[in-house]
Amino acid sequence: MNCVAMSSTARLFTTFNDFSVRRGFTPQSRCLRVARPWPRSRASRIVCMAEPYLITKLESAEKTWKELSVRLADPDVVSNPTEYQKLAQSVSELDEVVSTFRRFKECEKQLEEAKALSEEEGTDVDMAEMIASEISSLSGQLKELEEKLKVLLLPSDPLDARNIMLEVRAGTGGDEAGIWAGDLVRMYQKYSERNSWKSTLISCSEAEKGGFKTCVIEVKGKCVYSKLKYESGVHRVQRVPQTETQGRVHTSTATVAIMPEADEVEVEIDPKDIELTTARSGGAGGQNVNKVETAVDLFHKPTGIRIFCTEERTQLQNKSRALQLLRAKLYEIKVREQQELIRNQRKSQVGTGARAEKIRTYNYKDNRVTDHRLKMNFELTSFLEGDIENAVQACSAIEQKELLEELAESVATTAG
Amino acid sequence: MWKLRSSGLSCGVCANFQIPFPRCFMNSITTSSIDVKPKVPLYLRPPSFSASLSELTKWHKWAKNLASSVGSSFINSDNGPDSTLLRRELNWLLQDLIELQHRSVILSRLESGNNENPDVSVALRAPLEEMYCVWRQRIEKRRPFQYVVGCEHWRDLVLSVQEGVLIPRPETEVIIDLVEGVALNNAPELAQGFWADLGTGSGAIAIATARALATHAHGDACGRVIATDLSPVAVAVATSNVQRYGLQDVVEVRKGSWFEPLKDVQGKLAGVLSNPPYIPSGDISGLQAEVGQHEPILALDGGISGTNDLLHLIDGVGSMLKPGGFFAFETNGEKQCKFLVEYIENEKPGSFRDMNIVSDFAGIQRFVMGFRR
Repeated sequence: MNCVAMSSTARLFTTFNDFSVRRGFTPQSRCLRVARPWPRSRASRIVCMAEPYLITKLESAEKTWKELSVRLADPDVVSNPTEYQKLAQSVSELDEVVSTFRRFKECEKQLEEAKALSEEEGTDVDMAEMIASEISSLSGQLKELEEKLKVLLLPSDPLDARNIMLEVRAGTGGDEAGIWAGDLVRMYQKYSERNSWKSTLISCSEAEKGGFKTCVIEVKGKCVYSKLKYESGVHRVQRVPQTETQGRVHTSTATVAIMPEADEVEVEIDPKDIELTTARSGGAGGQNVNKVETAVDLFHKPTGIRIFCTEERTQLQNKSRALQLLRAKLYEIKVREQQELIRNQRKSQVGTGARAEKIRTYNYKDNRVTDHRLKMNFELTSFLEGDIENAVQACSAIEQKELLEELAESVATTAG
Repeated sequence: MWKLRSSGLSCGVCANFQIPFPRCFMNSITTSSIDVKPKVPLYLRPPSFSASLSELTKWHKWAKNLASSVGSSFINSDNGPDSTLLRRELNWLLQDLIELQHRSVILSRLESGNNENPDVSVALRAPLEEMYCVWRQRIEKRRPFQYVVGCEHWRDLVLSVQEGVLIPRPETEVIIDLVEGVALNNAPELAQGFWADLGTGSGAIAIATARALATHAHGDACGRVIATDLSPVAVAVATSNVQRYGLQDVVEVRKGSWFEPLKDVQGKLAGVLSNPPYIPSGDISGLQAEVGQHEPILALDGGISGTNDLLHLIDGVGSMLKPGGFFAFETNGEKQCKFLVEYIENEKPGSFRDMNIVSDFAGIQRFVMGFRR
């Protein structure tokens, strides 16, 4: 921590403010009424209007970072590993913001110095050219840093780090839809492998001709929700089904739901709302039967949600899995309601998907996957092998862009 | 069907393996418990074998096809398992076979049919040849899955089981819920007393009860459990399970018939639990082959009406329990439950209170429970 340097930038910052006041510019008007044309500089309206809002946030982030860093050195905290861990985590999250902010301030200072120099009388032509070029490059850097800071300050989705339950349900298309559902499950299992996530089968009901009627897998790992959240919606396939005798292309669908895991505090389940039965087929049961029928059928009366958990090796474990899945579903309903509200306000392209929204079409003949939100195409074969990262990143980039625009708009309305 | 690679291999005889291979039809069990050495379940054996991923894939495919070829034939013949259940068993067999560290990767590879890295070596707890053998036994001889893997998952426990020991049933899991939800909830002091699990088999009820008592004792002096069984194999296996859960100071296993080994605690027991044999003798031959041809008849046959042992227990439990003590017995269903309750009301009036019949999760009346006055 270089306290001397910081206070000097702080002073300079005050100077900058004074500078603008002295010149009679408000941040907004500074862009519109440029007293002296700046050679090769790009004045950006968004930059100017967001600035005071950004600066406040950044200063507060830096202040917090300083306070936390001091506390990290406190012997009481050092001796308490959980406390230390939590604090260290918060500090490291702020590290990038603070260091980028400092570079921003440093860049601003240099830009001001260069501008001051350029206004001095009696500089020769070569010098003036060099200074002008310096100003241009610094302005460019400043703008980049500002963009970066805005992204760093974007509110992150609190659900991003969560593990999820991924449910694939066969839609229209009969047997073929079931097979397609199976193909999608495999695609997500492979994508999970690529990301070193752990995917576990929770519950499935197999379709007669292959694949699934429904299938739920749990995916655990780093930032799972943040990547898979864009998969919610209807996935449509156009191909000649295995069952087709005349070589005609059919269109079938499967629906994917991504449910962030919820803990017992977030979603309370009243035992009276639940009916729990087991699938013990055939008559007497008990000692008469030895079949691995540990499956549990959970029915949630208020919502009508029915969950069938089959994959754990004991009834007790399937019961906990079923409750876990129920919590995730109830939570997803809550979350989706909130997010649809936001999406509609934002008129967003890539939200976390209305259930019935057709998000992708997979065309086998053309070996092509079309994402309808991105309006982009991807190669089908590698996509189905789990190579969906490009699509995920593209969705993420669009969402980020939308968030930035929203941020700018909201600031404009408050400032204006 | 794949040909087994070593010629001369047939079910029941798999030579050249480093671990003793369990033979089918092990009915000639020694009667001395000293000679019974409990077998180590598959999932606990060291992963000292290996196979390439492609060999494992080949076996998996063969085993899956064999399971699928069964279809509903077992259901139709004796209400046995169908292909879905057999494929589920196969998944669990794989879980126990593959060493823990790489398990999820290998399993998802097998599921996804990914053919990359065929030569990757996978650590196994048994030789792959044995897996061909035991899966054929499963399908052709209907040898119970739990005896194949040597264990049964039950509640939150994994119990070692082998021929000669009844495989704990999912229905029986509810007895522990009754212990916690009914007995200890209404009479918390029972958590400090002596409990008995009669006909303990693998020790399932005894071990789960001991753990429930410990939870409810909240650090005070915890109760103890005495588990009894007539069969020396059961005594040996129950003892090994008790040890594996570190409960040898809490659970004592005694050999003997019903209340006979419990004379020293007569009138002092806080709780008596049992899943006694309750199948009517005439029904045994009609049971699915896994049960009727492989599990110990001693643990299943309850006499002509199936109620011989249950009645014996009802007759004796009153004098075994201390006042306020709890009992719960599992039965063959509604008819037996009602019969027992009627018997108690007629023959033992005033001995018990708060008697109840409790259904299992399939909705069948399964348990009779009550408190001694």
